[in-house]
Amino acid sequence: MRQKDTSKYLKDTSRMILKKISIDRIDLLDKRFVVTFGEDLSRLISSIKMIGCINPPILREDKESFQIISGYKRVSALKRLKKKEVCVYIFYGEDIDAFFLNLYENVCTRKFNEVEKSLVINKLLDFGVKEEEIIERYLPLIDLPSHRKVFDKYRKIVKLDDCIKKSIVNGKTSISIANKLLEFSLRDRSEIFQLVSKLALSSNLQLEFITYLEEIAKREEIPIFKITKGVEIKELLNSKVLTPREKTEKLRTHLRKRRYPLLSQAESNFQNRKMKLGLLPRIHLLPPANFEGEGIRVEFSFKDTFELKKILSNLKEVSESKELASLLNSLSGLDI
Amino acid sequence: MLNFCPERIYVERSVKDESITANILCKFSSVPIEYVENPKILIKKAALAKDAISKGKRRIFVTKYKGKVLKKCPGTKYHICCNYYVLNIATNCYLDCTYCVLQSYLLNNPLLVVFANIEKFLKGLEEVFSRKNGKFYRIGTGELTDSLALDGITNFSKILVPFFAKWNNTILELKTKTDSISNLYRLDHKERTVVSFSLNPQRIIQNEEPNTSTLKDRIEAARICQELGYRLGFHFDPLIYYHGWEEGYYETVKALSERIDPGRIVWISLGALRFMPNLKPIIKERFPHCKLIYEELFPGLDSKLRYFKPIRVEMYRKLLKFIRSYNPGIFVYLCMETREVWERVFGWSPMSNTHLGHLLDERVR
Ligand code: SF4
Repeated sequence: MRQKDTSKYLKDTSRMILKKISIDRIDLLDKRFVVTFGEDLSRLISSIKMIGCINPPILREDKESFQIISGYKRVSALKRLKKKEVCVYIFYGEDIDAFFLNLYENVCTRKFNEVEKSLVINKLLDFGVKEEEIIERYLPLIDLPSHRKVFDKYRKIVKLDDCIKKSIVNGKTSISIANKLLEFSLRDRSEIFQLVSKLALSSNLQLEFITYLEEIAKREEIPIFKITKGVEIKELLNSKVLTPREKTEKLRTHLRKRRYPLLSQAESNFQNRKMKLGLLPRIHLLPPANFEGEGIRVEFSFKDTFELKKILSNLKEVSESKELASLLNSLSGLDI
Repeated sequence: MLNFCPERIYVERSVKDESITANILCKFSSVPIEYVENPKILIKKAALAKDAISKGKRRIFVTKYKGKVLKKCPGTKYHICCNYYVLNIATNCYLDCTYCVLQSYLLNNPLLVVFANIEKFLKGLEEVFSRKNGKFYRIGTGELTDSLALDGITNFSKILVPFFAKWNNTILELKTKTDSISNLYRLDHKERTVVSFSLNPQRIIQNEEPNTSTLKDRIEAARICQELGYRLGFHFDPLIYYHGWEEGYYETVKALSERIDPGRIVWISLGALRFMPNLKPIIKERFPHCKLIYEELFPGLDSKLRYFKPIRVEMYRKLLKFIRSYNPGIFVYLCMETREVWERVFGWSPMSNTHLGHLLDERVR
């Protein structure tokens, strides 16, 4: 197993020298060692404005320019402030050593966000560290449980489009949902993401909607974008009269109906028959879950004995009606 | 049917001299063998491996059975079960059908396990059968594996069939999706073994059971078993709902009726597709083309996913009609269904598990 004592690089003056260089020579596009994602530079910019860059970035010379090992945000802030020069450490060493230097420096000074954790895992793989070693040694280092499933989930995150990655960093998309999104084609993924973002769905609802879309697409053998671009969904999403909550509810009903047509039909038949019973509004009649069991459940609430008597008499009346007999009949004969 | 050759064989040291072990090693003399002292470490490693389910199916683990020899089929809550007993001489199966529940049952040990200490099984069975308590035991080996898929390798049937022939208070059911019956040819079975074949339309076999024997081969194997004097069982289980199912099952029953004497059939079971919800993501990942999981399946009272009830009732009724028109006298039963579904299909329902068990026992006593 690879064991690196990275502190030695910082102390080892023969490998690091302090130098003032022109900022123009630093290549911000070379991200070989960078594990930064989601730059919010505003605080750093104000700090540099106040006291300057007191912590020199660490760079490595690469032909005419310099690669950033550590301090990507600092250099970005300095560039934005149009500074001309900066004091930096120049590191002399191999790629893998440079990466570890960055990794351990970051581990000591800040917490990685979820996308950065994925970047760390992928860089470690790129630099030749074995999967098992990453799972055992480096996942705990970046605050992740040492488990293959976690490794597999985080590994894939870097493949996502930037807008989804940003949504992960902002806490709007969970790692599980992000992984689910990766199962789809680029076009379908973008359609799904736009839909769930537009409705600002909770994680549970995101999963429910994605599952409906995925399963409808499989059943009907069409791509997801054909579902989301369908007239009904388009009209619903663009409605000016519906609130986001109403849109969510309506869309949910629409998708469920399309995914489970027979069950939805049976539910609607039950509802129609129930309406004909003349039950008081406080009495609820519930069919067995998925029509699988046998009995119907009755629920009611009351404030006083007068109300209770009213409910009981209504129930007695309904129990003798031919409408109830027909509802019960339809339930046992539930045919397709 | 797939010509199976494992990638590796693990042998627990304590069973290295068993005859079953010798059969396996002789059959696969060129496959790497590893002798194992501590099975727990091996099993844990197999369970944690990448692609554990597929890998496990390609690795045989010959070991010792340590549990209770005869177990009651676990059945399932609120559903009528047939009071079956199971004899687990092996677990897992290399045939790898898309819907196979073993994929989620055996996550803790995904290896293809063969229990080689057959003497323990025989002793245990002998003890149970000689109790003289008037009980009848219908026993199957196909609960956690296919009864005959490994038989050409282990030769279990050569020991079990003659053993069961000695008792009149029990019957052995060998349930299979294969045509591996060559071991059954010259055995003295005294009709104490029922050879059962699971049937599905060829289109389903092709898509969902691609490593098993074709419908034609299974029926031909059944015909040979019939000629050899064995009694036969057929299981339309799992019944699969798909576009064209009605015609597919009609043709399947027709194919059966053309080759098999109904008088030799002791039972036919019908059981619609069912599985625990944790199997769904496994099927999705392992068989991306498989569309079975996108039908209208809902959790029943035992939490297993099943087709929407009207679909099941419709399928059972149709199958029953096809079978009845082939021969009205064949005993047909439902596997793991609710009393309500029984009533809607047959117009009556067994009063209990014991009642159904008794009806089946009577077929083979
Ligand atoms: S033959 Fe039976 S046990 Fe084997 S994989 Fe298929 S369903 Fe599972």
